[in-house]
Amino acid sequence: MSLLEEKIYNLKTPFEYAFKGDNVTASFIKIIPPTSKTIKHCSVIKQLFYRAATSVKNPESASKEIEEKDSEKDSDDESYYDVFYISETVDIELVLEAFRKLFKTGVLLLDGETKLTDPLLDKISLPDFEKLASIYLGNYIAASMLST
Amino acid sequence: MSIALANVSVVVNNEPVAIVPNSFKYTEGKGEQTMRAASSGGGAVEQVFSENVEMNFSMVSFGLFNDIDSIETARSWKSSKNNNVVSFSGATSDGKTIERTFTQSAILNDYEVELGADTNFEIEFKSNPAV
Repeated sequence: MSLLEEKIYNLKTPFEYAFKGDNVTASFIKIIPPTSKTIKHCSVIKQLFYRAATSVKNPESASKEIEEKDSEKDSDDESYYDVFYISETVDIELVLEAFRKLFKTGVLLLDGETKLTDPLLDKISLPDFEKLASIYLGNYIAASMLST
Repeated sequence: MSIALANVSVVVNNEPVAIVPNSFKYTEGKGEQTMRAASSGGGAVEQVFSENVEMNFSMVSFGLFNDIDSIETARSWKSSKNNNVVSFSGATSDGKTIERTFTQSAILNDYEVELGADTNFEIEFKSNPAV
């Protein structure tokens, strides 16, 4: 897997947005790998992820919990994001805010063209947001840690 | 008791816009109708109702403060011709909500930007009827 590989995520809950004067329905999001431009936002998330991962008191039961959650979802759906929920030391609001800030920098493009803004982020459903966060975390931000 | 809506969130081309308070106005774009009387004799009249669809367009207008960001943003909306989408949403404390979207919006007039310590300028879009 290359860290520079773009990905396509098909929205589970499509929504309408403004595009060239009309309201159109978004169907997918193009995920752009991070660059040094977004290093500040990525570093904050990476730090929170490391803190969350190392703070889990009982890693075996935690990973079992995540696996159980995963089994309810698609087979290729890895929920790295769930580590934040399990962690007792990381404030989930900080994580959400960090991801929102990152997603507004242009790393996610609606239908491959439109940069996400606050009103657009508000329209993304919770499962889609969590999945996007998980993809970004697992494939780019914490890829080196997760591959070991 | 009902609560008047005075504070709405305005979004233009997916970007939130900070407007001058109490300056937001819009029309539904339902056009104008006329009612005429057809005489049926003996002083009686029959109603002739007609719909003039000529002006079935919406208008959205609001004030912006004369900071450079707003001036540049307004200029980009003007340059986009009718490729703008304006929407607004609002809620009152009793939980009622309203939302309207205006597609293919364009600034038709050559709006005036007043540069002063206590001035602002008004932007007016014409668009498809509100949905």
